[in-house]
Amino acid sequence: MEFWVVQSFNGLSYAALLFLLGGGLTLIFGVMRVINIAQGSFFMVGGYVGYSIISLTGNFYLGILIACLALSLIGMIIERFSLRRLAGVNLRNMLATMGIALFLQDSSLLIWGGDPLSISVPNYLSGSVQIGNLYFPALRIFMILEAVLIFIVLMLVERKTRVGAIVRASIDNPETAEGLGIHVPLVRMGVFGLGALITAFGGVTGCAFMSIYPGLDFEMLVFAFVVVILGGMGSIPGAFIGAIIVGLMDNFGKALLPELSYFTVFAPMALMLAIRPMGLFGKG
Amino acid sequence: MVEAGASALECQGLTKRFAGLEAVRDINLQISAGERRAIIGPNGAGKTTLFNLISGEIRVTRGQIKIFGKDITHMPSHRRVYLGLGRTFQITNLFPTLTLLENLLIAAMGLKRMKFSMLRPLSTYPDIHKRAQELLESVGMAGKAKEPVKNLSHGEQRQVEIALALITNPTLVLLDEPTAGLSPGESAMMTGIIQKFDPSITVLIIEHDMDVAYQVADQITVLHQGFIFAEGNQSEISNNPKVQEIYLGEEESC
Amino acid sequence: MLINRLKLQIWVFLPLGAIPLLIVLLPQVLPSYIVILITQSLIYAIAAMSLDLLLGYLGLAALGHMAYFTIGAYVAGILAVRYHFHFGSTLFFSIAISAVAAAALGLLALRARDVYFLMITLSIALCEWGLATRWVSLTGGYNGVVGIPRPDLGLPWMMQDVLPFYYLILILFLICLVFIILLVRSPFGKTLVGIRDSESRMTVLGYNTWLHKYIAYIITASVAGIAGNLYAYYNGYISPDAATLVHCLKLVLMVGLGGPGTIVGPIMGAFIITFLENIVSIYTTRWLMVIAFVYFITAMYTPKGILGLLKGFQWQGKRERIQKWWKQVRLP
Repeated sequence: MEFWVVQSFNGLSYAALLFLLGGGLTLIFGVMRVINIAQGSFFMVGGYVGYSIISLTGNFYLGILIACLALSLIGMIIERFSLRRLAGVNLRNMLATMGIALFLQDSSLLIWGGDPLSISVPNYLSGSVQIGNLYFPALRIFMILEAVLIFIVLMLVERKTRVGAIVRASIDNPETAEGLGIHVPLVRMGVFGLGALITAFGGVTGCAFMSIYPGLDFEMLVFAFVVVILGGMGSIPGAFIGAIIVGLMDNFGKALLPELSYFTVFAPMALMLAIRPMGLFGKG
Repeated sequence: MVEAGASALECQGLTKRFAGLEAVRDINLQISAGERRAIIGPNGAGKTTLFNLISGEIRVTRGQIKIFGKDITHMPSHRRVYLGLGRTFQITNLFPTLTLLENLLIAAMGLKRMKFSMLRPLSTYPDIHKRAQELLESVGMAGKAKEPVKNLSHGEQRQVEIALALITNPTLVLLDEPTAGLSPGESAMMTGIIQKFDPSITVLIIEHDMDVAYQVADQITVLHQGFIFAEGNQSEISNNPKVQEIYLGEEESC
Repeated sequence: MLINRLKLQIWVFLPLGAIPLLIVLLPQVLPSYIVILITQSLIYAIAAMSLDLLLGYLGLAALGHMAYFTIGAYVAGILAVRYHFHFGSTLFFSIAISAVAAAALGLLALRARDVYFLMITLSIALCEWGLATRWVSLTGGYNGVVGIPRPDLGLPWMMQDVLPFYYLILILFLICLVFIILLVRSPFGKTLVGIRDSESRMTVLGYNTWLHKYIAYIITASVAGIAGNLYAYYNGYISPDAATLVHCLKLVLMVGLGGPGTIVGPIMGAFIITFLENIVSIYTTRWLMVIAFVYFITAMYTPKGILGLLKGFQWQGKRERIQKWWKQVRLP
């Protein structure tokens, strides 16, 4: 029994990171129809930036803040100067974002070197919380909380606020939106920046939880794709559920069937594609 | 050859529902071979939906469609062409990156087995080329054979639309607003072309331009909000006050 | 415009005519290193041509096309190393198994359109990667299948040597090239372009468009399987790296860079990328940056690839040419 609880908890905490990755990817796709190959790079670079800030200042939250700001800025610059021109043309988007991903990868190599880097968290996060005779690492709790928080914020903004309505209008009918005074290009830029920000947030936490190393970008990208395929492209709730599925399957897979571990992640994806190609919440 | 009087197209209780909205409701249509029928009605009446159901672009919710006595209700769209169906589109639907000649060649191959041939060049099939050349000359654009179709004028493109539909020797042709976007002169020319169709071809034409509809068609069917509002010949329809009303209603709501 | 047509003829046909001559004779005098790169380029060119049929001619964004390349490669590796099959047999099985896989997976992939088709083909490649890394008993896991010997053709020339192997690859490349050119000029090939331009029009002309796409999918997968087979022999090993997203995108880049829908373009793209990757790394450790740049520039500024760029340049004066290109590329 304890085994299941602990493993589920571990799976969910990993799912938290995956949600931040997949959520960013799906958000960007949902609004801009862009498949952002550099999403994994945002995660990795976010982690690296967090590492640098935290190493310099010792402040975990400052690291998160700066990483999020830096990556959202990078994201907005990317959108403004390149993706803007490639609206909706999918393979070209992927080539462009691939170029950006490789650029970020090599830059990271230059700046941070090839060794895996990891950061230490504030003391209150490095311990565990005890419930019954089970110990739950505080960092993992933090990860779950942060993902849930982002999820709630995104859903609220999308459903309840003017900003959400503006974004939805820009997707559904950009011409009408422009006519209503909504500056659609600004919205797109903002959304891309937001997608980068969310993933960067995950990246900093990831740096504490695992380590950041060259090649992490494409490894995480694969997971991001699986999450988004399961949940449905463009759907935040879908990314949430998809991340949970992947997180749990990956964890239980590694625990129970280590020889098949990647496959336990790909099998649900393959199944989903066979039965419902547009994913759980996708429109197809 | 189909005998005169035989039924070219029959729709029974034809209904199409889109997410709760019935675009086409309980349509009963009977069109004889060789007949020229115009389908008119205000915007949103369901005319193009009706065409899409007949040609198979969309599937029927309820009802039955028969072409020349054959039940095609569940037949895939491309198979209907083998039974003699042809159609044009309201928004010009050609092969934009290809030349006029290539457009016609591809159309000419549509019903032929050689379309699966993979090792011989297309240029070695004289009968296809001959057929394409015939259509090319019938629309008077032989000189523009090598021109990419997207460079042609709108009027010329509308003509090519018709040529593509006719190249398979159809016996039932659906023309969806063939004069859409044409100047009065071009419309008149288009009307002339349609009037010169072989008399054995059954023609179903959607038109917004009443003059064209009256000139081309013997019988008129008026659609309104998805069902058949009125049917009759030209004088019956043009003198029907209720028909005027539904058109005026459309103007008011604009 | 006769001058322009003459220019086009010289520009295009002279190099095209010279190239076969160069390809056959030049390697005798070039350093081995270059010949090896040409060999690798030819292998990728076969794969790129096959993708071009789907991408450029049919208009299907088959991102995960390398999946069939990988299948062909693993089939070659496993059969050659473990069961000592000869080259002819491995080639046959590479083609056959790629075709069968495509026949099965095509049923799945072709149910989707646009982005979803793209994602499904990518997912197929990813699943294959996952399978290859985990089914260690069959595929050797992360290390893959190693020790693939060069084909033994029973000829006086050993395939272990650079030149004979090059000529083998060249011959197979030319066979594939001829096949694809015939296909493209055939009625079936024309139907593919028709489907790309307007599937709805094709349907009302009597075409079963799904069937055409399915057949094309299987054929292109088989050709990719050939390329994969040769790749296994060329490298001497095959690992799951062949099915990664990065590798898949590399093939797409080759097609995009050269010019989709032209056959010649993807061949050029294969050569350019292969040479770039290998030669740039000699001069700078930042070769990845250069590749990134190529990806980016290709996507942003050459919508129809290099060939598209050249074609566009034929008919106008310099200033107008550049204006026209900028307009085309500068989407609002």
